[in-house]
Formats: sequence, C-alpha cells, structure tokens
Amino acid sequence: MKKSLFIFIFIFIFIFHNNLYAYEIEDKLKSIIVVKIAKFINWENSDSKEFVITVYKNQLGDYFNSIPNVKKINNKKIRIEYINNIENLKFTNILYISKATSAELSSIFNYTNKKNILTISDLRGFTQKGGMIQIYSLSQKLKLNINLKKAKKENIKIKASLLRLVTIVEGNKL
Amino acid sequence: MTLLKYISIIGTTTLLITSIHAADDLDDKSLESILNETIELKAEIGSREQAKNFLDSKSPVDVITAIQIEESGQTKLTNVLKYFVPGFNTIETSVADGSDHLNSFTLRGMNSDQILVLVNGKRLHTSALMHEISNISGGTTHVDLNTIPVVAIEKIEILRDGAAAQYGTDAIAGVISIVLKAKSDKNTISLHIGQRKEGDGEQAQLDSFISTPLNYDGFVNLSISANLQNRTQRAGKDRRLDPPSVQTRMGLPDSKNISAVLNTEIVQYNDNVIYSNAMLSYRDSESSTFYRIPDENRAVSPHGFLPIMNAKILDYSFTLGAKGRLSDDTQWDISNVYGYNNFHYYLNDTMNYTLGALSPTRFDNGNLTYIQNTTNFDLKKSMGKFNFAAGLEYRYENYKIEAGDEASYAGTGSQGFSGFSSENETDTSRENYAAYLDIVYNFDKNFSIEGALRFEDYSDFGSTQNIKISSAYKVMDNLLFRTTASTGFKAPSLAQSNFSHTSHFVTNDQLSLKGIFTPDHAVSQVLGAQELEPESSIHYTLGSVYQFSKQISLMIDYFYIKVDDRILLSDKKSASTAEQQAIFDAYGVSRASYFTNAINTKTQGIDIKLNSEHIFDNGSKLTSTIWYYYGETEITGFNEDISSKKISDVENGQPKSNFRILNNYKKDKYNITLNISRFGSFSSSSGSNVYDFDPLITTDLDINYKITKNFDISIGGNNIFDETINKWKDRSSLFLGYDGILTTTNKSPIGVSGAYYYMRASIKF
Repeated sequence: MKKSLFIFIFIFIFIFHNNLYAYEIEDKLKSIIVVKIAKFINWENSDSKEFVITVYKNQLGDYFNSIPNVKKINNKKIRIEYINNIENLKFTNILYISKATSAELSSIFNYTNKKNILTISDLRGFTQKGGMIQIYSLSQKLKLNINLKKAKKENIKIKASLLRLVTIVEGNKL
Repeated sequence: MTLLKYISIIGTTTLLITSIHAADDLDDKSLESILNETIELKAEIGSREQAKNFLDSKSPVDVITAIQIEESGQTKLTNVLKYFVPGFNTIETSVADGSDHLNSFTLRGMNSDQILVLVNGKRLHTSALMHEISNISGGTTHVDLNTIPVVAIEKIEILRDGAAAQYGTDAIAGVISIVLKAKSDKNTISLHIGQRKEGDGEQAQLDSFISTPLNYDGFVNLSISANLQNRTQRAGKDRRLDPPSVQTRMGLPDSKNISAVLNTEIVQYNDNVIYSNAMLSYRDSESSTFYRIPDENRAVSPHGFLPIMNAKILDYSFTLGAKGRLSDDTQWDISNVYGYNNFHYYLNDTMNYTLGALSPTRFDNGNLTYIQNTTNFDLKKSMGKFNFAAGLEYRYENYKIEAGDEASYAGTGSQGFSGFSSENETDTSRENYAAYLDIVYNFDKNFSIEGALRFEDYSDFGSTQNIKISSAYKVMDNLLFRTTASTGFKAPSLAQSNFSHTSHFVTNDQLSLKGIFTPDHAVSQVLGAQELEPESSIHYTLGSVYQFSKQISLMIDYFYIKVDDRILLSDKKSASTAEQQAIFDAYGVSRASYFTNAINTKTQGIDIKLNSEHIFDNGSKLTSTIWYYYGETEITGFNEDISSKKISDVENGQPKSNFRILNNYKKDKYNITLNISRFGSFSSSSGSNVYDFDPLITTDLDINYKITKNFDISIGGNNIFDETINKWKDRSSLFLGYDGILTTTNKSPIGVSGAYYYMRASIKF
C-alpha cells in the first residue's frame, strides 16, 4: 500500500502544475452565452449609448458583472441591470429571465411585446411558452432552442449563422 | 507486469501529454465553442439542497455519466460500478444455489443490504433472494442492480457516506442513486456481441433508447435491453470418476435477460410535473450444482447426472408522482412506488432418491416474493440563507415463501437443491412510518452546514431516530474541507426475520432435518436465538477537495463506520445439551442455523481520487482519473460465538486495497478508453484454514470509431491480458481444491472466466 501511495503522490505532484482543461461552471457559461447570442442579432439602431442586458430574478450569481468591462455589442458598452419586478423594466435589448412562474412569464411577455426585446431563459419549456431563446443542458453540454416565429413577430432579426447551432421549436399560443 | 511498471508507464505518458499548455479564455471563444464546452457535473445525492457541483458536496460523491458508461463497453450495472468505483466489489459465483443468478456487491467492504439504491430519488425494492451460501453478502437480501438496463441511465451518483438520517434504513455504507435519462435529442440502437478468450461465454446484447418529446420539455422515454449469455466452463476434473472428467459447471451461467424502462414526465403549463417510471426485468438463468456420480443401484440416471438449477426471476416496479412549486416558492413532491420481485427455483435433470424410480427429473422447488410499496411526500424551500426540507414516508413490505412440488422436498428432496417445504412457507408483512427534517444554513458562499433528523417507526421492532450533521468550508476558491457525522441503522429485512429453508439428509441411516430456521423457531430459540434488532451505525467522514488549477481536482476522504449488532447467519449448530437435544429430536433436526445480531465491526479507510482533463492544440482530449481506495474491517465485539471462517470472511474476505487508472482519449473520429485496475489480495476460508489469493491486475480497452455522425462501431475487451485468479493454495480436495472441481474461490473480484472480447455497433437517429 505504501509503495502504491508513494507512486500515486509522485505522479500527482508532477501533473498538477500543468495547465489543463476543466469542466466549466454552468451558470458562468450561461451568462457568456447570453452575450454571445447578442452578436447574432441585427439590432435596430437606438438612441441608447449602451447595450442593456436586464436580468430578471437573477439566479446566476455575479457572473454577469464581469462581462461589461471586456465586451462591446454593436459597438456599445454593455450595461447589466437587475430587476425583480417586471414593472421596473426600463429600456433593454435583452431580457434574461432567470426565474419565473408561468403566470409571471405571461405578464413579462405582455410587457415586452412590440418592444424589440430579445427574451432568453433557461426555464423549462420557455420557448413553447412564448420565449424566444431557451438554454438547456443535455449530456453535460449547453444547447439552445429558438422560437423563430416569436422572434420574427417581435421583429428580432436573427442571423442565419445562429440557426445552425440551435433547434427551432414551435411555440404554443399564449 | 507489476503495478510499478503500469503506474510508471501511465505516469510518464500523462506527464508528456499534459505538458502542452492549453489556453482557456471563454470570452474569446465562439458561441459554437462555448456550446461544446463540458459543463460541471452536478449531483443531488447527499444533500436536500438543489443539485450542485459534486466537487462542492459536503459528503464524498462520485458521478458516472451515460457517456462514460457507453465508453466503458460494460453491459451490466454491477460491472459498470466495479469498473469506475474502486471500493465497489461484485462477484460471480458458481455452485452457490440462487446466488449464481444474482450478483452480490459490496461498497467499502459493507454488505449489499447496507447500501441504499435509489432510482430517480425513490427507494428501489430489494430482491426476494436470500443468499444462503456464504459469499461477500451471505445472509442478505439486496437490490438486483442488473434489473436496470444501463441504456436507460443518464447518470449514477454514488454517495460514499452514511445517510440513514436522510433516506432511511440501509444507507449505512452509502447510497447508489440511479438517474434515468430524461429529455434527449437522440434515439439509439446498439448491438454488442462478444465471447471469452477460451471461446465460450458468448454474449449478445441489443439495447435501444427511444425518446418522444412532449410539451414544455416533457418526454416519454422507452429503454429496452435484451441479453443472451452462454455459460463459461472453468471447472476442474471430477476425480471421483474414472477416468476423471469435467462435469460440474464453474463460471458464468447460461442466461437470458430482458429489461425495459418507461420513463415519463408530463409538464403542465403551470410547471407542475406528473412523472412516472415503470421498470420490468425478466431473467431465465441456468447453473449447475455438483455432479452426482454413477451408481448402479440408482433407479434413475444410474450413469450419473448433473442437476441444473433454473432460476426464473421476475422484477418490476411502477412509480407515479407529481411535483411542482407553490406560489411562495415551496417545492412539493408526492409519489408512490410499488416494487415486486419473484425468484422462482426449478431443478432440471435431477431426481429425488427417496422416490426412486417414480422420481420426476424436473422439479418446481418453490419461490420467494418480495413486495415493497413506498409513499412519499416531500417539501423543500429556500429562505434567505436557509434551505429547509421535510417529508413523510409510509412503506409497506411483504415477504412470501411458497413451497415447491412435494416431490422437491419429500424425503431427501431433489438432488442439488431441496425444494422449499410447506414448513418453510411464510407470508409476512410490516409497515413503516418515517418523518424527516433537513436544514441547510449557508453562512456565506464558502461555508455551509447541514443537519438532518429522521424518525422511523416499524411495526415489527419499534422506532429509531437518526441524525446527520455535515459541513463544507471553502478555505480558498479552490480548496474545500468537508466533514460529516451521522448515525444510521439497517432494519432486519423481512427475509432475515422470516426466512427458513430446511431439507432432509440421511444421517446414520435416518432422515434428519438440516438448514436455516427462523429466529423464533423453537430449534433456534433453544440454541440461543433472539428476536432480531436493527443494526446501528455511526459514520464519520473527513475530506478535502483541492483544485490545483481549475483543471485538476484532487479528492481525499477518510471514512470510519462503526456498526453494532450486524446480522449474520449463525454457524451450523448441533445440539450440545440435553435440553437442545430434546428439541432437536422433537423436530427431527440434526443441525441448524439462524439469523442473529452476531457482531460489532469497525471499518475505516481512505479514498484518494485525482481527476484531470486536457484538450490538446489539435483538438483531441484526454480525460484521466486515478483513484486509490483502502479500507479494512475489524470485528470489535461478539454477541454470539462465530466460527473463525466467518471472522475471516468479514475481516479478510475482500480486497482491502483497490486502484484504478481510467483514461479516455478522443481525437477526430476515434474514442479510446483504457482502464487499468488493481484488486488487492484477500482470503477465503474453510473450517479453520485460511487460503490467500494474490492481487490481480486487469486491463480493459474500448476503441470506438465514428463512421458517420450517427453510426459508430467499437472493438474492445475486458481483462484483455487474461488475468486469472490463483487456484486454492495447498488445498487438496475433491470438491474445493486446486485439484478438485472448484479450483478457486467464488469470491474472485474479476470472476473466473478470463478475458472477454467484444464488438459493438451503435446507431443514433
């Protein structure tokens, strides 16, 4: 046993300082995906000097906070807003819904209708319930669903290059 | 090749290939690359909190994913667990009655019935089979893991910690939690065929997984697995014959298995979920007992015969439940699980000597049935830094023994295995109520503590309370210390309290009864048997997880398990006093054994596990796990005298050390998995003699090639260098000896059948 343990530790000491790859934190990846998706949208010009991502009932920790310093979208600085009540929603380009009941979702979609807001969430059945892009995990990978009809209806112009990375789903009538 | 050489090769290789630096800046990566990132593994077992990264768990937890299972090439769940978890042991027995048809297993040297098995978070019922012959889990009834087709499994979470305060009885050594596949975007059909190096043991397995999506990410998934396995033959020559020849079978049985799982979640618009799963398994398996030598005076089969035990095992369960959230965010879950297992014994190609020429050659030897129905109601809620969970459980159990044909037990009974008699019949039930409360307090994101309290009341032996306290502290972002302390218990199973199997033997020209009697039988009582009490346990763990960079994690966990009143089958006893002899005479008994709370034990050890993953500049990926396990069990007290054989079985009957080096390398269309395992030495005893068995090193290899995006083939093998366990040392015997029929022990952790080579083809659609 001692010999085995010694060899084990010996190998380990030599290995550990090498820079290898690791599993990524799911919440961190989700926050990055939200920003990456923004680059696949042809955003309409607006008067705002900032690109605003609003997070509704944030459950992703503080991963969004590290994004504004390093990234720009549409040549605009990114600003992250956090809200817990949809009535507090001001101008935003993306609304990331981190937690909501189905009843809340209905209220949220009523509020965002016709406002050219991209809605993204990891909530179960989000795209079928009227959301635009859903992030979900499968076999230790994150994947995307898109409700293309809803996006078109809200005048969100998605680049074709995004469509090859996602699954297109039909939304239900709300 | 010695262990040193193996480790040196792997270590050097690993050093060379890990010296290449891989940059990692997620912000600069494309969305496509981000979607190809492997996300953290989350586990729910061990805590009532939401699923979290298993590296942050308060208890030692391991996760085996569906992809890993597929890459391993393993077709049976017991072999999957042995492949990945060094402290997990499973055996394949021969000439061991019903045990030949249902693989026993242990975790950290603890018995199969001291391990709780969950499917989708719900308790799975055990098999009805009582392992009558001493093996690694002799005297227990336990879950038949191989009723669950591996193709249905999304992941396996293994909690290496006591958890009776969280999940109830049996969770002394740990919990194996099977999570079935849920939402899936691929259906699969795969065919696996293979055989042993010696040309026998052919196996074919067809697996299919079909998933149909429902609204709001609901699903209906159907998994079906059909397996055909031909026997292997590794027995020695029977020297009672002239000339000696091989008759008795030693190795894998002939078996046909079919299993299916239907797993469903119907999601309503309001997010409430109605869930159900139905599992069905049927196994038809044949093994032999010892060969009966020619006897000219015998009316039937005077030229000798080989009794064949045919086990037909039907197992099914059905779960129906609903879960959702209340308006105040309280999560609720209500469910009912009904489980059924029937183990039916048949004996073929044999006879009953007492019946002479009138003896049939095929017997129905009776059957064992176990039914378990569990109803759960659980609530969970987060309030600031607190997470609360509470629940109620009601469980009904029934155990039944039904006698076989009268011809199977009349007189001397059917040769090879006497049937269950009308005197052995039982139909007994019990109920159990439980309530639990679990509170987690997160001081901050780095320090949390959890307390669990569970009360249980059994209709047969009364109530028990158990508690568990666990905590995790992140000293730094990459260094976590964790510790747990818990009490636990294992209720005596209905089988242990009510099982009996007696048969007549000719002693001094007279028939006398021998076998296992219930603890409340007059014969057991006069020998000193008492009503069975629950086993009680105390479990401590102390461990650390260190992530040297974000690339490598090292887990080191010490464990200590103290179990009092462990239930064993007593030694076979003869009457030694006048009072005992009077009772023995009254029942015509010459020898008896019974279940008893025989011993107290202490088990302690350590797990050291290193995980790493590396992506090379050319896009290829190497994943490695190096895992060392050491554990030893010591008997610390006796409530009843037991033989030195039983002492040796408990303390030295399994490998104390275990080592795995698991590697998976993916490049372009190739996916190569290499597993090197070392099983430490152990011993097997007979009478007062102890026989040692040497350490074993096996190598498993799977090479997978993706022909198209949805069609791949594999070739591979288990124990490819054909490592074999040594024969009995210095043990000469007609039956169990290096020169006998069974040339080695039944407790081999690698079996006796040798190298196995296979091919696999898989289609996704």
